[in-house]
Amino acid sequence: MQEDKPFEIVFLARGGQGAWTSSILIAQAALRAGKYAQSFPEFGPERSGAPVKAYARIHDKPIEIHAGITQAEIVAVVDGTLSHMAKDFIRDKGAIVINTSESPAELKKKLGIPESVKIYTVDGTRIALETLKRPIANTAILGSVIKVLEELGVKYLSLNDLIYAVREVLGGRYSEAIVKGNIDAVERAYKEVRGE
Amino acid sequence: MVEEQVEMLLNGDFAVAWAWKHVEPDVVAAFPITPQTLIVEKFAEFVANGEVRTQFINVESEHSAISAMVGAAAAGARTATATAANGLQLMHEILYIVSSMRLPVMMAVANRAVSGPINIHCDHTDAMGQRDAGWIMLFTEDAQEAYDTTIQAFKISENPDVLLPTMVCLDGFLVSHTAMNLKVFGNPKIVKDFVGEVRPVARIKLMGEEVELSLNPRNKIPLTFGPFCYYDYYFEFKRQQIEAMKAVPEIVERVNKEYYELSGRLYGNGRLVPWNVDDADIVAVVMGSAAGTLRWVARKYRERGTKIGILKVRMFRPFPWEEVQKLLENKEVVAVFDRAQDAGAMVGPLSLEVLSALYYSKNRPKNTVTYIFGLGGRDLTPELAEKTFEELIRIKEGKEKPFIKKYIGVRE
Repeated sequence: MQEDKPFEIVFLARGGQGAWTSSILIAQAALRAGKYAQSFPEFGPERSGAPVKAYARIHDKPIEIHAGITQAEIVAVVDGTLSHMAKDFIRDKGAIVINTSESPAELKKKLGIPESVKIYTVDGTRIALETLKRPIANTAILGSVIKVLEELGVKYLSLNDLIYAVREVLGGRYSEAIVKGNIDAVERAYKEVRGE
Repeated sequence: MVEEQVEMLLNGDFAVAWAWKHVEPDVVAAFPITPQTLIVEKFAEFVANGEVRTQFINVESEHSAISAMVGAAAAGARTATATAANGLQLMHEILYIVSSMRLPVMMAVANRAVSGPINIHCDHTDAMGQRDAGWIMLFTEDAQEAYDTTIQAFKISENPDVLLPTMVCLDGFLVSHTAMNLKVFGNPKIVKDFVGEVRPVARIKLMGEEVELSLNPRNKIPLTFGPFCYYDYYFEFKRQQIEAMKAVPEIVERVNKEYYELSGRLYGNGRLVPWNVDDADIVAVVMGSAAGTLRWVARKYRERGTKIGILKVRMFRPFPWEEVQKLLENKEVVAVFDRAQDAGAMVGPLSLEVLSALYYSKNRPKNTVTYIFGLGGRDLTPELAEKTFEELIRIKEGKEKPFIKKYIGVRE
């Protein structure tokens, strides 16, 4: 990060797949790590199944900007069918993380992603089906995002901070089995994500 | 002494609900409308869980919500409600009744554009439509300020020298749905001690008796609220109401300062929050979340030596015109950023206030321009802010002609 600006992440998903929750979890993890964070959904009515976005900003100082994110350091695609939208939101030298069974190299070619943008893939839906018995990959994608942060050399938060946030946020809403399933999904996706 | 606080990740709506939880009003009545809904949902949860003792009235409309506030507040209760946009428009008639009956109602408004076309996103047109209703109006920049200002609003409104309702405005989605790290008091008792365990109800002298200014059946002399009034006394009523507004600026400042002592957070003098205004050549005047975005962009200009300042207006009603006049004296360029409709008006509502103040200034700024921005949630991006700053610099350098108003971020 050459500029003094917040680190920005855009989540792409369909209504009901938990994009907003993803951005809340990463912000909560950043708070746990002693950083400043901002999390907000795409400003608008959420319709089940329609493409939706959620945003997160992380910084080591209070965040003053109040505007949507148009050029993010990381675009996390929770629903693989929306991967064609990722390049509209990515900055030069950013990284795109996609929930898909395809390999990073084939996707990069197929989507026409510029050379300077890194691409990572993880089969988040399969991981979610195995850990949660539901095809909701929003927490799996977050495990991959943590790995990508490490690869980019961004030290704002760690895997442990994210796991803490999953417990904190989901623990209040769901059973221990579901919380545990989500943590498993995070840990597996952290390990299984592949770069080019 | 700064009291112990807990850091949480909360959006603006939840922040208001937490402030209510800590104040624990006697009565809350509200009808859900985006982007205010999360306030009502979260607070209803606190009520359902038994975490607060507030009477929560489910009503069938915003007209009923604010009417319930009238009844409850007239009975001496501490009251709060929340709404937005069309819901606020539906309350319009009753808003004047609340202020003229001198009822200290606290209302959160998650600012949203007014239909049509139907739009649920942020602008200030909803609140601006109520600016002559006799309410105190405070605008907040982020979720932390929404929490802090909500608590302050009760103390301001309920002050016996004020007894006027307060509207706390938070930008729809930009504040209402944007979560951030913020601090809330760990012990709600701190907040209760600050606002007072129960609402202080004013006492008045009437026919040789001291009575409570409420519909209290224990009063020796029963009172009537909201009676019919001819031309014989209506004007005097209004005159007193206007007089009450005069007490507000000082109380806002005092409450802001007392709150700072507890929380460590200070919002200017409570009325205005200037950032690098004193030595600035160019000053942007703005309200709400856009103040943060403009300040962030202005920091970069400051680093390069360009003297840009930001004047955040926190208290829009009563409008602190004398202070605004003073702060903007002799500036090279003043730009008012207005997030509200101005159809048929010379400029937007915030700018009308600023221009009126400047008219009486002996040291008027050399140039004053207005930008109308962000209607219906159109983003004021850092890039757009930068573009306008560049324009203001060119005006200052005489390379570009000043103008009365411009619409930015819109297809012409």
